[in-house]
Amino acid sequence: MNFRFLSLALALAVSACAHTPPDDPSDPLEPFNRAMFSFNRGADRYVLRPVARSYGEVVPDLAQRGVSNFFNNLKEPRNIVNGLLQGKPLQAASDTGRFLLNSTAGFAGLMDVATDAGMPRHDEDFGQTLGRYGIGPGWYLMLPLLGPTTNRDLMGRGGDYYTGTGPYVEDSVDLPMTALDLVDTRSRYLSADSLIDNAIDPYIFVRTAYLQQRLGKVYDGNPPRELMYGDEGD
Amino acid sequence: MKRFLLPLLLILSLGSAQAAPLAPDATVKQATEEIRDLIRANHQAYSADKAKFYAVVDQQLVPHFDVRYIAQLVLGKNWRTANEDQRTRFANAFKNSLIRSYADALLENYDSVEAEFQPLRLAADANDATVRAKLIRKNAPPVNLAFAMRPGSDGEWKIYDVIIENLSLVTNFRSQFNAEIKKSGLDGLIQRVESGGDYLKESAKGA
Repeated sequence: MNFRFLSLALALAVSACAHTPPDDPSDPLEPFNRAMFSFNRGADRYVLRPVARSYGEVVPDLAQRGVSNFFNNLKEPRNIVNGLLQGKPLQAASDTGRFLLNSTAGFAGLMDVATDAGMPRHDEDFGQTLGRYGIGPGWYLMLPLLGPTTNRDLMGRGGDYYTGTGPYVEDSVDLPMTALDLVDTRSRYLSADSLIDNAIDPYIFVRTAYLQQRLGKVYDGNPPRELMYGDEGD
Repeated sequence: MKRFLLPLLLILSLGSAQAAPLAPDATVKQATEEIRDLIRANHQAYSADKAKFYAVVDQQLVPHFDVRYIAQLVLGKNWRTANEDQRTRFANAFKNSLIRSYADALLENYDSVEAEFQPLRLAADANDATVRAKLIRKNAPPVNLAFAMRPGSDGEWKIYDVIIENLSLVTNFRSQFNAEIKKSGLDGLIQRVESGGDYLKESAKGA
């Protein structure tokens, strides 16, 4: 019974995942999303941004790079699994090499020695894999505190849980790590703040940026023209 | 006779190759070099007289962009219903606002970043090309940059979109402008864009 309900919910969710261009997406929950967006911006302004700013000022650059490398290294299993699921065995093999090399010679991932050894970093996740399988983004969603996503990418996050540290590390360790990852990531996007603040409509700016960035990632920087530009006006 | 035909054909094809327009990546490289040399030589004069610098950008850089096609892509479905006067006015106003928004950044950062171009493979009869480059910055990860290009009416390759880390300039403006058109119509948008490059910033205060 449970299983039947689950598959029905999944089928409904997938059927809602139409292909829409980033500038004209399916956003039926827009009023709710906008409310969440202003809540998130408030939380960011008073909590996350100040923390990320002090982090950027206080922590030396070298240590910051170590933190970024460390978390990037923990994402390699996700890259490997999804690289394989997307039919990129060579890339998955290279990412396996990265994971082994950086975890050992790179001092548990603090240093990214693999990039210098000719194995560049990739970025794959289960949402991209679903996209590669032909599933469109579906509805745009703005989640409280978690930020922008779509029906498809939300399902993807569920899959990514199993290739992340969550199931294998105790919460008392995993939660502070997740917080540090968040602060570190946020500190790298401080320079994007003025872009959002100066947009005609910050909500639409973030929505378009998120959807474009995901579309680009699904197609490894080479999205099909009709998905990218939609109605070209001719 | 046949013996002469091949060399003759070769010479002919060489001749036509020389007259042919620059390849897309060479076009971008050359344009970048030219404007950098100009800024290097005249940095003080340009900083003192912004209007002069905007005019230089208009003369040197803008011809490498397909302004009308960019305007068409940015308006998207609204381009079809726009009349000729609206199209021209919008294209011109949008071009000017872009110059005003980006020229200052260009003047400030022209020497602090290096562009590393990726080799471009292109079929001889291609009518669309994407030139990819990496912007190398000091103490910061590189930025991926792409120029979408197509042949213009004069046969030279022209840029019609700039894509920074998967974010397309055309798509960004289209979604923003679409919202504005829904609110105040196409003429309202054109007026707003014509009123100055600051329309990007003014709106922020209300948000």
